[in-house]
Amino acid sequence: MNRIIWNPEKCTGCRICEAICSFVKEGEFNPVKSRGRVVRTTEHQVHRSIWVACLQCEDAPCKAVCPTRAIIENDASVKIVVGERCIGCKMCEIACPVGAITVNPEIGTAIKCDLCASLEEPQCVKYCFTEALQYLPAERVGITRARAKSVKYLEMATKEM
Amino acid sequence: MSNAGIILRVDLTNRTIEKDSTSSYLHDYVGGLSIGTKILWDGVPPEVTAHDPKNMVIFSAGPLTGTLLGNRCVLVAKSPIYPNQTIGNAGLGGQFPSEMKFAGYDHIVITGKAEEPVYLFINNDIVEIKDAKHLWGSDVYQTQTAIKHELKDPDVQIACIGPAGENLVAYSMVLHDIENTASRVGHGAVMGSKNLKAVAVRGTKGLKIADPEAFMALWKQYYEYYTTGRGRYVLKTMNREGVAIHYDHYLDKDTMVWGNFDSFVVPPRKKEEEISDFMNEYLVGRIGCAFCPAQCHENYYVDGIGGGGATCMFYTGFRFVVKNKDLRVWWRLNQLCQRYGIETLSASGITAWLMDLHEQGIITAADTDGVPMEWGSEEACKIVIEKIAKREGFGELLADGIVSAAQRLGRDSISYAVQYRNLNVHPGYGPVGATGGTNALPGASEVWIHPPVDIHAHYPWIAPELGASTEEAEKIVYDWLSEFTEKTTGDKNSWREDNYEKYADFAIVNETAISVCDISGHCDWLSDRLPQVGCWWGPEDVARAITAATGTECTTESLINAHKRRRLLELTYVQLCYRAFGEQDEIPMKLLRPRPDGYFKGAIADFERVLQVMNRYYELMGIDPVTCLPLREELEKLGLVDVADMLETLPLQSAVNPSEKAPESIEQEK
Repeated sequence: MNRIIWNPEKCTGCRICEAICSFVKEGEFNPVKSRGRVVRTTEHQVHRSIWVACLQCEDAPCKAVCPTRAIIENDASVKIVVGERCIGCKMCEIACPVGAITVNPEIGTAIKCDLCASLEEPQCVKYCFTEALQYLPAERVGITRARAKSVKYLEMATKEM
Repeated sequence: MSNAGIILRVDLTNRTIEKDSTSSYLHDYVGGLSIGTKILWDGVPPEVTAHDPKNMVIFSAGPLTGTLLGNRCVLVAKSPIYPNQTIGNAGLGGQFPSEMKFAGYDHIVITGKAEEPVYLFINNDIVEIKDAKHLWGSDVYQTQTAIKHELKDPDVQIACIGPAGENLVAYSMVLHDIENTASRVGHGAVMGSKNLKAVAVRGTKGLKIADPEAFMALWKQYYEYYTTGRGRYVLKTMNREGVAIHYDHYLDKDTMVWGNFDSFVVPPRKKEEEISDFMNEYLVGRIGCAFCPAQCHENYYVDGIGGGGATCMFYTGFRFVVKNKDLRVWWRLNQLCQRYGIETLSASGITAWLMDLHEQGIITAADTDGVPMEWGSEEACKIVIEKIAKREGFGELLADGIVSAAQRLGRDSISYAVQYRNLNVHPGYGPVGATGGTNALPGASEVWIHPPVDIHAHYPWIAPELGASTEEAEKIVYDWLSEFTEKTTGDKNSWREDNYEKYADFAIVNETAISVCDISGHCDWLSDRLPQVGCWWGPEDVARAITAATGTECTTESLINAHKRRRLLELTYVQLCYRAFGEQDEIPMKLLRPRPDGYFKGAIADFERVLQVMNRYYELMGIDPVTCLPLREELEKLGLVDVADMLETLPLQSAVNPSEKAPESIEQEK
C-alpha cells in the first residue's frame, strides 16, 4: 500500500495541493471542498503551514463510527466514502483524530482523501513543486523520513568538521 | 464560471450596498485592471481630487484569479501622489484576491466617505459596514489581528491601512497579511480619506471551471514549462531564494545607487552585509500568493526586532540610497514603515534627499526637528518615517511627496529631488539610454519601460541554476531575449538600451505582457514580462486559459484589445487631469547629468533621442504626438466612438506636450 507523506521543511504553504484537489474532485476551485487542506497560522508575523489530509488509519475511527457503513476499505486499504450510503450525520468528522474528513456543505455528504483512487497517483503529490508531498510504498516511508532528517544532521556534522 | 459575476458597489457616505453584474463589461474589457479602469473612467470625473469622497478605490480581480493560473488583483483609484491626480494602479497578491472571488465578487468598488472610521466585512453574500473607531491608529499587524479576533475567524483575509494612510500620506499603502502590499501610488491615503480602515473578506463559494479538461491541459503545460522546460531555472531560483538575492547582483554592473543618485558604485561589503547572508541567518520560510509555485516572498524573524515578510522592492528601501549597509538596521526601518503603512521606496528616497540637502548645507538639523540628516544614520531615517506617518513637525512638509516638499522648502532643493511626477525613482532604475528616460519627460504618462539594467542583474541571479558561469549565463539570457524580441517585434535587438529606433516596440510588448496579467489575475513575474529569465507565458496562453475557465471565447486579439482600450482610456484620463489641475511636473535634474561612475559611466538621458522613443510609442499606440490624445481612427477601431466624440469638444492643444517640455541635457547646455 502507498501513502502520502508530508515534509514540513519543504512545504511553502502555497496551497496548490488544495486547489488541484478541489479541481480534480469537483471541477471547481474551492478550498472548502478540498480533501487535503493547508492550515495557515500567523504568530508574531511568522507563518506556519500544516498540511492536513487523511492519513489512512489502520483501524479507522471514521469507519468504525459510521452508522450506515458508508466508509469502506478498498483493496489497497484506502478508506473511501460511498456517497449514496452517507446520511450526513457527521459522526466521522467528530471521530477523526486529525481533522481530515468533513462534509461537503452543498450536498451534505462526507468527503475525504481517497489517494485519487481512480487515477495513477494523488494529484496533489503530482503537482507539488517542492516535493513536500511524496507518494511512497508504506515500507519506504520510514527510511525516506530518516534520510530527510539525516541530511540535516550531516550538514551540521560537516559544519563542525 | 471563473468570473464570479458580481461587482460590489459600496457607498460609504450613504451607507448603501449594491450589486451589479460584471457581464456587460466582459466583452470589451475582459476583467481585472481593464474593467477597473473603465469603472473609474465612468464614475470619477477628472476634476475630482484623490481625496474627494467622489473618488473610488476599486479592487479588481480577473477571470483567472482564484484558479491555479491566477491569484492577484489590482487596486485602481485616482492617486494623490501625482500632481495631476490621475489614475494610479497597484497590484496586490496573497490570499485576499482569491478569497474575494470565492466570496462571489470580481470587483469591489468603494466610494463616498464614512462619517466615522469603518471597515467593510464581506462574508459571501452578506456585506456589512462595521465600526472601526477602536482600530483607528493601530498599525497594520494589530489591525488584522484585532479584526480576525473580533470576527472569530482566523481565515478571514484582510487588506488594511496603517496610521500613514489615516493621515493621508501620499505614498501610504494598502497591506494584506504580512508582506503583500498595494503600494507606490497612495491607495492607503485614498482609503484613509474615506475613513475606511480595512476590507475583510471571507468566501466559501468557489469558482466553477467551464471546460475542466482544457483548463487541466493548460495547467499541465504551465507545470511542465516551469518544471522541465525553460522556465525551470528561474522557478528553482525563486523556490530557493525568491527574488531577494537578485538585488545583490545589482551591484555586479553598478546599477544600484549609492546615496541620492550621486554615485552608482557601492563600496565593498562584508559578508554579513549581503542579503544571502541575512537570509541564511533569519529566514523562517518562503511565502507568497495563493496557488503559486514560486512563493517568491520571504518570511523572516530577526531576534530582538521581530518577524515580517519581504518582497522584491522591499530590498531596495533604506539600504544603499541612504548609504546604509547594515541589514539589521534595514530590517528595523522597513518594519517600521510596514507597520505605519508607508511605502519604503518613497520614504527612503525622501530621506536620501534630505541627507543630500544636509550634506550640501541647504538644510541643517534645525530644519529636521534637531536630528541632523547624516548619511547612514538610523536615527535620522527613523525620525523621518515617524514624522511622515504622523504628519508631525517637518513630516507635514514631506507627507505629500518630494515635489511639494521641495516647493514648500525652496532653496533650490528641487534640483536634488530624484522623481518622476512626484514619485521617487527606484534606486536601481536610473535611466540608461532609451530605458527609463521617457519617464523623466514632464507631462508623459508612465510609458512602462522595463529597465534592461534589470537584465544585467538577472543573469548572475539565475546562473547557478543554469549550471553556467556568469559569462555563459549572460550569453544565454541575451540569446533568449533576442529570440523573444525577434518573435514579438521582428527585431532581435529591440531590447537593447541603445536601440532608440525600435525600443518602443519592445516597450509595448512588455507593457502588454504586464497588462494582460493584470487583466486576467495571473502574476506578471511568471509571464512574458521577463523573457530574459525564460518566463515565457504570454497573451496567447492567458487568452486560452480565460477561454477554458470562463467558457466564453477570448482570443489573443480580444485580450490585447482589452488592454489597448484601458490604456487609451488611461492616457486620455491623464491628459484630462492635466487640464483640470494644470501641469506641475518637475524635471529630475540630477538624472540629466552623465553617470558619474561605474559600468555605465558617462551614460546620459539624451532627450532628443528619448523623444524619438516616445514618438514611436505614440505612433504604434495610435496617439497624436502633439495633443498626446488618442487619434479618432484608433478609438473608432476599438469601438470607443464616445471617447472620440467627447475629445472633439475639447480645445485642440494638449495641456502638456512632452516634446515642448523636454529639457536639454546638461551636457548640451554647456
